[in-house]
Amino acid sequence: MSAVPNDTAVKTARDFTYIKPQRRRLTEYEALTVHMQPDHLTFDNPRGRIEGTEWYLLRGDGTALWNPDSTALKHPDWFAYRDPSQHWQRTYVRHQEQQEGAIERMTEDAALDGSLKEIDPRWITEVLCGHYRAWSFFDYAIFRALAPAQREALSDTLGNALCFQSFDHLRHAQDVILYLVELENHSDAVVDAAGKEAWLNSPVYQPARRLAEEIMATRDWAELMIGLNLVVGPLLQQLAASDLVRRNALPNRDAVAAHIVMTAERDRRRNLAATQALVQMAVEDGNPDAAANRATIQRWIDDWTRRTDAAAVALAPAFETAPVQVVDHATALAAARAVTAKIAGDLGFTSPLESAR
Amino acid sequence: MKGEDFIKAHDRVKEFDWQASYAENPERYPMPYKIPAKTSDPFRHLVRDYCAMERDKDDRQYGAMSDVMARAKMPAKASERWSEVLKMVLPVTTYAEYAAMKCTGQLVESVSNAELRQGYLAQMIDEVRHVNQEAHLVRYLAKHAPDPEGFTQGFRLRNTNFITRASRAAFDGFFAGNPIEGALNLQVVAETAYTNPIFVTLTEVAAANGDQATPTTFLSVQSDEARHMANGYATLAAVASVEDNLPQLQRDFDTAFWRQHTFLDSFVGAVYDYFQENRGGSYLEAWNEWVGDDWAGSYIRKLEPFGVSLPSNWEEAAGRIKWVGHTAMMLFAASWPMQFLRVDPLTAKDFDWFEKKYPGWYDHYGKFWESYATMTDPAEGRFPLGLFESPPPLCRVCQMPCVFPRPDISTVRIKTHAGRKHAFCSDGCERTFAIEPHRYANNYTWDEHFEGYELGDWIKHCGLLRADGKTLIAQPHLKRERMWTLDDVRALKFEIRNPLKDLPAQGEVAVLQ
Repeated sequence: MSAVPNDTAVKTARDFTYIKPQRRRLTEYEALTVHMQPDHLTFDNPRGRIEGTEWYLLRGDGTALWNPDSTALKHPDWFAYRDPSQHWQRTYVRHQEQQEGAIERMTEDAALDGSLKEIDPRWITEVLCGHYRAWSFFDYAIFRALAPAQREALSDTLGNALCFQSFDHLRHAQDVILYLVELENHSDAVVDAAGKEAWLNSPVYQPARRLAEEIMATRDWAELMIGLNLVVGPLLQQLAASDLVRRNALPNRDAVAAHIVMTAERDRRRNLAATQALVQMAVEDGNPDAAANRATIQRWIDDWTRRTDAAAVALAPAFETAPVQVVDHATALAAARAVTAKIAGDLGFTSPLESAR
Repeated sequence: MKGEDFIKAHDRVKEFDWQASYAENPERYPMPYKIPAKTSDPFRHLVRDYCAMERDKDDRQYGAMSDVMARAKMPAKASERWSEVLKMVLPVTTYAEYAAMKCTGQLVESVSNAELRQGYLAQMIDEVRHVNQEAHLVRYLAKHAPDPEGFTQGFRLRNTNFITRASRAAFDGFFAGNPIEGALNLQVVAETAYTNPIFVTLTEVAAANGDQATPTTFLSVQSDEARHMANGYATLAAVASVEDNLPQLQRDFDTAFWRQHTFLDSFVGAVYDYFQENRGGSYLEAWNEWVGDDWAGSYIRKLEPFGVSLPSNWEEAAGRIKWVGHTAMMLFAASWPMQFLRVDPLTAKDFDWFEKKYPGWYDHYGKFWESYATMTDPAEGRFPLGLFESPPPLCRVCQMPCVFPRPDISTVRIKTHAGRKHAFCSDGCERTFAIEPHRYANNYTWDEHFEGYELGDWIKHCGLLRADGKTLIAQPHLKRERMWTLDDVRALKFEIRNPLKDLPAQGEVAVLQ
């Protein structure tokens, strides 16, 4: 077999040396993610005789395949973004498979040892069907919104983070359905249709439904990421899923629902960290648009907090439906507001909820 | 979970959509199509099953590659001729997967049909999987192949190589237009017609040439493609079920087919036929089986009762298959210093195989390959493209050289539009342009980018040199002796030209409304 010359003193690279690693060494995540999306300004710019950006095929309306105006934020190099979780598909799917496997086994065990029969029927009807099932529609809306957001995002690292978060929310929405289907085999208290009915018609959920529909109509992918993870997650998901369902589940003898929510919380922490990295990048020293970005993000935080808080306030009657209630709405809301304000504050922003801290 | 529970869960998953009443969501990707709210369901996996299935497949694929195959040094045992072409094939397929991910994001947004949305979501994450798998394979080969040069640079060269630029022109069609146009390009044509010859049959070629890493990856990729084909079929059937959609559907289908055919058949044909060392079947045979019989003869014909016909340019495409791969490869080899892989001359055994598989091959291509073999030594001071009187212009639409199907019967035409001159390789590409000329307003050819560059300067500009800073990554042979250097190329005194400049226009493009 022939081989290439190795009699030179120069060592031949055996990795993608054109990728600038965030830390000392190129990670697997970086190697398999960075520069998968063409970047006509820098990485993919032929730098020949033609100046300006080049597109082989424009969209039907004559605009570019990726548009810098897809977000109000500006950055000279979105490809420098790194998701702190360092997920690529294999690690992400493995993580979700582990979470789903754990939920499946726990549900199976709870079915076999009789635990599912011991759950208070009022908890099942009122909270799991009337509330948690209604909430699955909210998660579904986020899945819908983030699918086109990943399409429009201005780098591969950002697009992939949005794609994974989109998947997170469909997973969570489906978990509610799967759990109720299993519960139906052990309890007559399951009324699956109650969830959609509440979602569509109950005044408790109309501010949340309004917010969900506004989320689906939001075009700016960075606004979605920031609004969902800095505001909606810690304020509304915390209240609707973590406080109302997870914290009340065990006192109502429902271990499975608590566990399902815990897996969603794990995803939420990941998405919060990913968003904190985005915000830090947008306002970092050296970005000529940092001040404008800061103003934009502040405006988003203010706007999303106002709308999200209205949805959180409206959830009060749902808290009253838990047969055993370890946390009341007012206490939970105050705590969620304080955490949400702290998240904004830690990033150097103010929150309309500042007084809650 | 019991079967009836699974069906119940699945039915409930399909009821997630609701009619918005608080916030308007104006059409984000306007489509000239109406999509019925209910259709057949192409996808019956829930997220939970999907994760378990994909994790299992990932463990098998990555486990095999990092364990047995790496320890047995299998990448080093593959045919070097075959390994070389992977330097270009893999960045090309990886971009196709990335473009596919973007397509499915558009489909989730636009197709108001819960059944189809479930399938698109799984495909969206599948495409991330495929991007990662194929990039992983590139990196794996960079690490383990005898000659890593080219593997390490393929993604970086995506926009400076004239062939990989043409792949962008094809795959941007997955998501540049409206979501149904994207689905036609991606799911109906590229995935259903072409993934079998690429991810299945090409792996047989790889395995026969000692390459186990590519089949391990590609067959795992292909195990997802059946679901994507089902997505494509369900999408197409849904669109075709509304009679008003049919004229637009057929026009978009014709365009999608031609856009993918012009690049894929010439590129895959060249890869398939010219980089086998241990020879088996031909691309023509694979094409006849998978694209001719399977796709056109079965898949598309089943849609005829719904009013969907084979693309109008199908017969023309089928007639070109015998030649396009050879023509593409001749241009590719003729311009070898501009590439980032090594192309060795054909042997007597190769000549016999080509004449047997493609009767008449020698008359059109044999002399070129005989000449090519005499020009591998830099001491000769010649390279094939330098002997062409004029290189062919590049097509404004598909970006491929306008020499197809064969240089002596080329269907090239030069036209003007809005004061700008364009070359088109075929009637299909001219027609595609004529439907929507505005979509090519920011489109330049490789020639337009680089005209006037001295070849050595261009090679330096693009970073096509090995680690010593002198030797070219590309070579016209696989030997370690007499490798071409920058000085050898400079001695050729070759300047890149834009042939379109000197060619007279034959009139205006007749724009179609």
